[in-house]
Amino acid sequence: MSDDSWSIQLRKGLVELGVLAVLRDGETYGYDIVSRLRRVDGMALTESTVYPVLARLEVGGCVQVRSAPSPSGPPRRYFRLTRAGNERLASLTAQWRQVSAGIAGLLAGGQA
Amino acid sequence: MSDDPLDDPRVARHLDAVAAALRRQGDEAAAAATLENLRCHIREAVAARAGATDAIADVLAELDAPSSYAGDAPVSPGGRLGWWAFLATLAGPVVGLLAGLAGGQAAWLAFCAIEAAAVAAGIAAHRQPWGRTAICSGLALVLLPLLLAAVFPPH
Repeated sequence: MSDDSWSIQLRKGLVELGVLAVLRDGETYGYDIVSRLRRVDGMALTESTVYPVLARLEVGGCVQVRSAPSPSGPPRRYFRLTRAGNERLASLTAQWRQVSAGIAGLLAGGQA
Repeated sequence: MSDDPLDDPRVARHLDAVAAALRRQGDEAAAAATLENLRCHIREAVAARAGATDAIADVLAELDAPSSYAGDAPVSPGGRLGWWAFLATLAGPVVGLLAGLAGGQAAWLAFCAIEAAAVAAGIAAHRQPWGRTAICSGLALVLLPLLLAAVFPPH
């Protein structure tokens, strides 16, 4: 597996956690979610990666959607975390912390 | 001329191509939501470039290629389950016929058990086309012999 391929797979695996983390800060719309994730160092996520994940979270009941006019342009779809979404975020965060701590330990040496 | 960028034929072509790519993922509800998100994204991006010579061309140039949506996105478990449910409905008659060689009611019971499991799996994957196909074909395969038996009672 090339470095590029590994990096792409790693980022794809983290999209859901990234989207849920953005929504933890409060209700927002899709364009803003993509813009914020695009700015995260090392993630470089784009709409083709974020929107399918956002849609699956919507279908799965982790996010709630409402359409509303925007103050300065076209109507927007606003997303916010549901209770299931908050639980999903807590679960993924715990897993991420466990894995990242384990890998950090391995990289630092001295652990089997 | 419409102010809605979605009425632009270049945008329509892009959305059609994305829709085609999403159809291969098998989850219709998620595909519809993804498309709706993308429509809003395009409107927002074009509005953010108000005043540009060709804002739509700029936005389209920045968007990912439609093929990105058909990449290695995870296949929804429901989509796979629907496919297996449909295969199980086809397996029902085969197993029923094989069990029929042993005689007795074993064939009918085996057939009904498999079709019931297939329909249950189809219901669990009802959002996918294969899941709905499994529900219909499973019910039809069970009801057809019952109907025939009612119309032409065995002597």
